[in-house]
Amino acid sequence: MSIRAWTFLFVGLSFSLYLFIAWRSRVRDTRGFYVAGQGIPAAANGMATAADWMSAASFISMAGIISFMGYAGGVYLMGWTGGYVLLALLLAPYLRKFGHFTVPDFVGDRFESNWARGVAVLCAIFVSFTYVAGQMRGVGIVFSRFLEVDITAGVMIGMAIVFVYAMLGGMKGITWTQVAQYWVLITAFLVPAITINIKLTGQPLPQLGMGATLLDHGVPVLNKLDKIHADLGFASYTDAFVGSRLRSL
Amino acid sequence: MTQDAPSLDDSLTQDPRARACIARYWRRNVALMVGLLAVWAAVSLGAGVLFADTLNGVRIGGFRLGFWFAQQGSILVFVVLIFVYALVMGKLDRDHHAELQALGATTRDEAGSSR
Repeated sequence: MSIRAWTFLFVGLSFSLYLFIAWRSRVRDTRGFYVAGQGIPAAANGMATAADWMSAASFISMAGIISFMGYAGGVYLMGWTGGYVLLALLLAPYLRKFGHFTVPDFVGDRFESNWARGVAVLCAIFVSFTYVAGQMRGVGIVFSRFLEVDITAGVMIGMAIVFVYAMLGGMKGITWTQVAQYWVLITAFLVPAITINIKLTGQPLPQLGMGATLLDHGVPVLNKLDKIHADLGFASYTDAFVGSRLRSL
Repeated sequence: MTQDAPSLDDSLTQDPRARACIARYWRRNVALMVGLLAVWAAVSLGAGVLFADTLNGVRIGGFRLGFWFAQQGSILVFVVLIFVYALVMGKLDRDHHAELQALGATTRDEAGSSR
């Protein structure tokens, strides 16, 4: 089979799976729609959240920004992931305990202020808009490559599919779809990362591979990356960026 | 909606023992949060950014330490922090819930016997 046929097969299978899940978990009441009737097990919720971390934006642009910016790109990694800690410690438990569906609802009631509610609404819209814009661009690029249409058409097709399963299943459908996506994504992440790592450094764990030595040249991977950066005229990959220099301390 | 918090009748919220229990719960909750957030800031902003250059002088395996914290270490610590929070808060919730339930039972008994 050609690569194109394989791509169609895999994309077709995974989308049928997502749509099937959405159809099976379709809901009719508000509680089901916004909070999945609170019947999702913790592990499944964790997987759905992890699938959010590994979304189109991280799949396509995180790798790019980290290799482009080198050390400074690490700030995005830390902020991106560290935000989950803030969410888990400061917001999520109280949202649940207050029994509200949305963050503005919670903030407004917690501080008994419509101003606070308004600020939370603005933040939510701004954050969602930025996030969706990035994601949709990513979806558009993927679909345009895969179906060989232009990016705008790719965005439309992607939105249509998301619309169908979000409308059908609400948070319940989305969460279970995300659980399926978690397994698809983690496989798609790990297979190339481990394969490339074995090929370059001769052992399977990518986290260690980064600090290992290249089999072909006998040079450490990080030194090679530093050299590539230097050759391209950027600062060395592993050197802390200028704004972070507190040498005297 | 959710009924996660123990449902307290008015007599129980007036009970000083119950109030002390709730105040203790909140103090422990805040202490845990402050502790975890201090680690959170130390590994990312501290080790990964502010003191990265100093830590880069130390090498562990093939990594310079500051760089390792920025690219891998801080993220691993974040995951651990979330697990620790979930486990400790789960236990705290259960313990205090049980304590309040016990207090509620004794309050009802006292009310029942005085009647």
